[in-house]
This record gives sequence, C-alpha cells and structure tokens, in this order.
Amino acid sequence: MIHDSRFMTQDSRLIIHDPKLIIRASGSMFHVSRSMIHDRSGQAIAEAIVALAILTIGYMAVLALLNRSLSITQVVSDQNIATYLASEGIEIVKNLSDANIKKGNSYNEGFGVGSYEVSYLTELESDNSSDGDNDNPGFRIGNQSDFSPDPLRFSPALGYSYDLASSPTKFYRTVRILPPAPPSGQMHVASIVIWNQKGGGQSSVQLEDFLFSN
Amino acid sequence: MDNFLLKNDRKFGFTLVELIVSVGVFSVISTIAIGGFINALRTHRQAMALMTANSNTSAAIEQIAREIRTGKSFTVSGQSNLSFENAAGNNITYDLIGDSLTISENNDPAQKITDENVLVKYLSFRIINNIIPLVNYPSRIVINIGVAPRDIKTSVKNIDIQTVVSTRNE
Repeated sequence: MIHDSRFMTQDSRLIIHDPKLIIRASGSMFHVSRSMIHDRSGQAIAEAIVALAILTIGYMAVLALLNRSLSITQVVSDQNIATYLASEGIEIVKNLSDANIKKGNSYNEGFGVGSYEVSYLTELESDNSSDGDNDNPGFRIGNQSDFSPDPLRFSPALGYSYDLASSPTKFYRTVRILPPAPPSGQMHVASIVIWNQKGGGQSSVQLEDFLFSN
Repeated sequence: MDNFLLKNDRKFGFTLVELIVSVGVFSVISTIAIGGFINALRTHRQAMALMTANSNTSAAIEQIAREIRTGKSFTVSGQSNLSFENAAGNNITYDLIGDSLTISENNDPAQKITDENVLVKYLSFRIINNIIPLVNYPSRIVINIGVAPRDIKTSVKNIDIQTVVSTRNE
C-alpha cells in the first residue's frame, strides 16, 4: 500500500511540476493517492489509541492488585484477632486443668470428649452445679465434630464473651477435647475460630495443644 | 524537487485536528492513570499502616503474655495498669501512657513498646481470680487492647484484640 501510493505520487511528479496541473491532468490518480495517505495517518492514531488502551488495561490490573492487597491486609487484621481468641480458648482449658491439679484432682477431671463454648468466666462444673449446664468445662455444645452456633459477643466493658448484652461479632469459637477420652496420659485440645470474610468466603484459625497428666 | 518535498511533508505530517484528538486522548488517559497511581499510593500507605498496627500489637501482646505466664502477684490499678512479679523476681508494670503501651521494670522510667504510628485506643487488664466459683483457680489475666493506625484513615476503624493468659506460677 505504502509503496503503491509513493510510487503514484512520484509518478505524477515526474509528469507535471505544477501542483495545480496535477489536479487537472492526473486528478483521479492524485485523489486515490491522497485518500491512501489519509488512511495511513488514521491508522497511526488508531494504533496509538489501541496501544494506550492496552497499557491502561494493564495498569488497571496493577491497581486492582494493589486494592486487593489492602483487603488482604484487612483479612490479616481479622486473623490476628482470631488467633488471639483461639489462644484464649486453649488458655482457659489449661487454666481449668491447672485448677484441677491445684485442687488435688486428676488434671483432666471433668473433661469429656466433645465441643465446648468457653469464655474467660468459664468454670468447672464441680464448682457450680446449679448453673444448668450439666457438662463441663464450659457449655458443652455437642460431640467433637460440632461447631458452636453462638457468635462471640463484644462490648467495651466485657471484651469478647458470650454475654447477651454485648453485640455479636463475626467470630465463632469452638473448643474441642479430642480422643483419646480421659482418663489417659494426655489430653488433646483444639481451639477453632471461624468467621465469614468480608466479600464472601470463610476463614478459620485452629490452634491445638496437648495437656499432660500430672 | 521542492514540490516533491512539500508533498512528502503533507504525506507524513499530522493535521491540527489529528494532533488535538491525539493530545486529548493522551491527556484523558494519563489523567486516569495518574489518578489511579495516586490512589495506589494511598492504598499502599493504608496497607502499611494496618500491617504496622497489627505487627506491633502482636509483638506487644506476645511479650506481655509470656511474662504473665511465668509471673505472680498480679494487681491492676486504674484499668490499664498491670503490675506483677516476673519469673526473675523483678516488679513489672505494663501501662498505657498517652497512646502507647509501656513497660517499666522495678519502677524505672516507662519505655514504649509500641510504635509512634500505632494508636493504642484502649488497654485493659482484668484479673479473674478468687471470684466465686473460680476460687482456688490460677489467675486468669484478660488482656483487651484496641489499636488503629495513627493519622491514616482505613476501612478498619479499630482492631479489638482480646486474649487470656493463665499464670503457671500460682
């Protein structure tokens, strides 16, 4: 194409020197070549626009990635909170076990395999048999594969607890005593915190610990 | 020959309209790109601030929890001031002074253990000990801490962290 148009213009130049005469003498030929030149420069702009559009799309992808990094940082915040809540669950079981030892009982007195809800106010059943929850420690919610249906609740005064006056959070904590069933030389404890992520999907943190016989 | 050059110029040059259109397109796209770039910088700053807040709090809680685990004789004064004797027999005080977590050993001047860029909104220690029915239980120390990045607004307004430490030394 390019070669063609150049050839034709050069051709017309060779015949007549006066530009006015070009139009008159070889009008149709000149017009063809002009429109071809016009097309070419249009192509250059179209190419530039396409190139810029591709660059912009690529750039937007990078921006989207950066925004994603912010939301991932928020997930990290949640994981941070959840890890400490899970560690609280383990720590309470450890406290109950230590209390058993302090009172001269077996370290796993009152523990049975299953899932529990515990909070920092959780006591062993033997200390308060009148509060209605007949399984201990804490509130037994079922066997070892069950999850707590109650969210942890938060208030500035009480922190995270199951206190009904506090407002529910997205965190659900289940503490499990896993087999082998007591009495045995070790107690397998798992503390699981699950929550729904902003924008879908469920996250969880699971901590495990082994408590040993005194 | 002159004519040949003239015509050649017309062939390869841009018209005014083409130039205006291309400059217009370019400026529109670069405006979007620069806006996006500024946005990306802001996002990055927010992400870094959140990460700093999280990692500072983790480190501080880890330090406090370790020391509590092996400590004894806990007392809380005010709400945010926890004093106890650590495993080495030193008197340790953790407190919230200004917007920072501080530690003081044997009543030495308090030292900050969180960064200037981390705003500690509240710190509260509660000792769950000898209240019925938790009589004769090892002390449980409930740590509540709320942090946020200082001066940088993020969608995470407040990171409320709570953990419980049961002392092994009582």
